[in-house]
Amino acid sequence: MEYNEQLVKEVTRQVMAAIRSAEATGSNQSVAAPTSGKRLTITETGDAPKGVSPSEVVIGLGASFSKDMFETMSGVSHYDLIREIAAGVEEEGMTPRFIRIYHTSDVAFIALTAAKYSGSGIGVGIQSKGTTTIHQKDLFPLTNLELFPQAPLITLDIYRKIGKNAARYAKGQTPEPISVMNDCMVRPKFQAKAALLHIKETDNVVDKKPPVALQIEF
Amino acid sequence: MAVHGIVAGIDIGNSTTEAVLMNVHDGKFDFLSYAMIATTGMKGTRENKTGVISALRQAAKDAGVQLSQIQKVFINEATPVISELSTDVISQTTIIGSVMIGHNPDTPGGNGIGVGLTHDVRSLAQCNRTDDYIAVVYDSVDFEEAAQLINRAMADGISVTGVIVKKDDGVLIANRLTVTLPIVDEVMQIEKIPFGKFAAVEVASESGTIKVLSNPYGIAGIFKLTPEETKGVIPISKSLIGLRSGVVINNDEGGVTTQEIPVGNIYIYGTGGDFSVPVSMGADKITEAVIKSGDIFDIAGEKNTNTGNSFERIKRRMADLTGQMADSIKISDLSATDTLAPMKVSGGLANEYAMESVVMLSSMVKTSHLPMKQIADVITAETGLTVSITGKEADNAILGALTTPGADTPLAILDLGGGSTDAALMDQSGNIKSVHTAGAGEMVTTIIDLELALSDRDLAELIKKYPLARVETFNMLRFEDQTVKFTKEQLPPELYKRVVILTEDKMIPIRKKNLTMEQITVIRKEAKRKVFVQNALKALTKIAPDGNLRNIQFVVMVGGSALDFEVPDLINEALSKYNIVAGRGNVLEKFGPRAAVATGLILGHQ
Repeated sequence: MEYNEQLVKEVTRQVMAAIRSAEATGSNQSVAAPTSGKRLTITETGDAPKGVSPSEVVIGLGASFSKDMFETMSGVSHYDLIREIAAGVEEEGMTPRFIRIYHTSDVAFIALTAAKYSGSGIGVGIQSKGTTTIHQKDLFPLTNLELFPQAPLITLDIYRKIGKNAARYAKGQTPEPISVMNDCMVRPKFQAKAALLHIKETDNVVDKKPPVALQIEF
Repeated sequence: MAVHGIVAGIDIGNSTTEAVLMNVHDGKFDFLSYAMIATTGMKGTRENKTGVISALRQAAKDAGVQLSQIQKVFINEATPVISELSTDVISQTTIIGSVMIGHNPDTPGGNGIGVGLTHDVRSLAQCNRTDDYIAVVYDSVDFEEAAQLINRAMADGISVTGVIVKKDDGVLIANRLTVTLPIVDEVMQIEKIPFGKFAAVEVASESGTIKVLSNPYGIAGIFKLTPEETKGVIPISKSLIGLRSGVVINNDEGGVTTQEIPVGNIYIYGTGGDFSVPVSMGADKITEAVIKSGDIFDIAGEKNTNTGNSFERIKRRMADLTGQMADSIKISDLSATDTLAPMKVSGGLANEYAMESVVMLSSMVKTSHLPMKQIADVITAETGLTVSITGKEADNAILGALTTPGADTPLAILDLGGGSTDAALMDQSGNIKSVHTAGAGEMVTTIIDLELALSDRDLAELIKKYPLARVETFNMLRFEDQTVKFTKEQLPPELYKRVVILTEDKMIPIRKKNLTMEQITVIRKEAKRKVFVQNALKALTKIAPDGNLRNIQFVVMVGGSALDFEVPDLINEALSKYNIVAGRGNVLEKFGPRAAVATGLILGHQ
C-alpha cells in the first residue's frame, strides 16, 4: 500500500467525520460533568520565577490551556477545573501558583517543570485535554507521584482531590488514595480525539521557551 | 526406654510445625537436621498429619537419610487454642433523633465557639436581628456563594456565630469571610439537621482540642440544662474529647445514649471453686477469676447470650474437627483482654465512629488423648513409622531450653507461641512445674486489626511482625526511633510520604489516611504488652515457688514469638521490676529460641 499525502488527508477527514457524527449522536459519552461554561481570564506576566515558599504548589498548564482549548475531554471547563484544583490546595492551607509550560506538551515534563519551579518541590501538570500528573522535583521525568491518565473520566470532584493531595504531599502529610474510574473502552473510543487534541497543543509548543508566570482571574 | 538410631521430635504449634532429627547412640545425641513448615489445619486435629509428614520428609532429606530409617517419632501433646477470638462489644453509642456528636474532619475552618439557631444559609437574609444563628450549608451551595451569603447577612446586622458545611469546604469558606467563625465541614448527612434549633459549633486552633463541648458542664452552660439533663449529655461530651472540632445540636426529641449491652456471664469451674463473672466487668475481673479458680475443669457462658454462644461455637467447632461429642470438649484456660474498637455510631450525621469497649476472649481447649492418637495413627498408617505422643509442651520446652549455652537448673522458661504462652520451672532435682495459658501472637494480630480499624488481617500481621519507617524524601527514611537513613537507590514514588512496613526484602506502604507512624507504633506495642507481658506475668506467677515472682531469677524465652523484634524487650522491661533476668534461648547453640519443644521431646526420652 502506498502512503501519500492525499491518503493521510482522506483518513483524517474520515476520522474527524466519524468523531463529529459520534458527538452529534451522543454515543461518545465521557463522564457527564456539570460545567459553569465560564472562561478564565489569564494574563501572562513574564518569565516565571522559581519559588522559594514551602507552602506553595505550582500548577503547570499546557500551551493551549484556555488559549485555543477551553474544556477537557470529560467536558469539564478549564474555568471549573482550575477553580477546583485551587480550592483543593487552599482547603489544605496551601497556596496554588500557576505557570504556563511552553517547551513541551508532554504531561510528565509539564508536571516535572512545575515541580522544579515550586517552592515545596511539588507540582501539578495539566494538559489542555485534562490529563493530569502530580510530580516531585527530584523524581525522574517518567516516574511520578500520581498520574491520572484517562482524561475523559476525570471529574471536577477528582480535580479537587488532586489539589488536596498535591497540598498534602507538600505539607509532608500522607495523601489519601484517590479512586478513579477505569474504563477499558476509553482508549479505543477517545484515542483519535486525544491524538488530535494533543497535536493541537503541541502546535503551540515553543522550543526552549521558559515557563511563563500567569495571573488567573476566576 | 532408651532408643538408638535416628529419632525425630515434632512440635505442632498453632502457626508452625517443627521437626528435629537426631542420631542417638550410647546416650549421646548427634544433631542431624531441622525443618519448619506451616501447620496444616487447626492444632491438635487430624489435619496436622500433612504438615507433620512434610516436615519429617524435609528433615530426612536435609539429613540425607531415608524416612524409613527413622526409628521413632515423638510428638508433643498439641493443645488446641481457638484463635477465633470472640470479641464482645460491651458498650454501644446510639444517637436518637438528630443530635450530632463528635466529628473530626481533617480541615475545619476558622476557630472559636459559636452558639445559635440553625438556619439554611440561603435564607439567612430573612433572619431577625435579635437572635444568633448557625448557618447550615448544603452541597448545592458553592463555597464562594456561601461565604458571600454569610458576609452579606453579617453586614445587614444578622448575627452568624458558626457554620456547618456538608462538603469539604471549611477552610475555603473561612478564607472568604470577613470575620473568623468556627466552621465544621464534611457533615455527610447534613439534611438531618433540623432548622430553628439551638446548636453549638466549636473548632480549636491547629494542634489544639476543643474545650467547651467536650465538657458536660460546658454544654450545660450553653443550653441552660438542668442537672438532670446534664447527666444525659455526658456521652456526648465524652465522644468529643480529643477532637479538633465538634457540633452539638439541642434537639428536644433527640439524645445520645451509651448503652451497656448485656453480654452475659462467664462461668468458670475449677479446683479453686466455681466463679461467675459478667463479661461487662472487663478483662481484669475475668482474669482475676481465672487465676482464683486454680486448675480449670471447664468454662461456659450464659445460655442465649453473646458469650454463651461463642463458647458453644468453640466447643462445636472442636467437636467437628475431632469427631468427639460437643459435651466432652472442655475449655481449660481463658485469656481476656480489654480493648477499644471503633464502631459506627448508629444515627450519626457524619459517619461518626465512637471507640467502644470490647472484651476479647481467647480460649484453650483441654487436651484429650483421642485426637492426638488419631494423628499418630494416620501418620503410622501412611509412613510405617512408630509414633508416640508424649508429654506437655512446656516440659519439653524446658529440656530444649536447657541446651542453651550457659543455662542450668533451676530454670524458668517462657514459651511464646502463636496461640499460647507457656511457662515452666525446673528445680535442681529436675522436677518440672508447668502452665499453659491461652493468648499469644494471634491475639496480638487481632487487637491490632481491631484497634486500627484495618479489617485486613494480613496487614495487621505484617504490622505486628515488622518495624515501621516513614519515607520522608526519595532517599531518606525515618525510623520509629527518629533516626534517619539515606538510601543509595531512589525509593519508588508510591512510597513517598507514606508509612511503610520494613520487611526483610521490601517496603510495604500502609495506604490508610491519617494513620501516623506514632499511632501505629503505640497500638502495636500496647497490644503486645496486653497479651504477652500480661500472660507472661500470669503464667510465671502460677509456677513461681510460693507464687512469688521474686523467687525466680532467670527466665529463658523460647518459641516463635521470642523472635519478635520487640516482645522480648517488653517482657524484660516488665520482669526487671521483679529482679528477673530474661534472655532469649539458643537451643542446641544454633536455633535461637526455635525448636525447643522438638529438641526437648527427643532429649526427654533417654
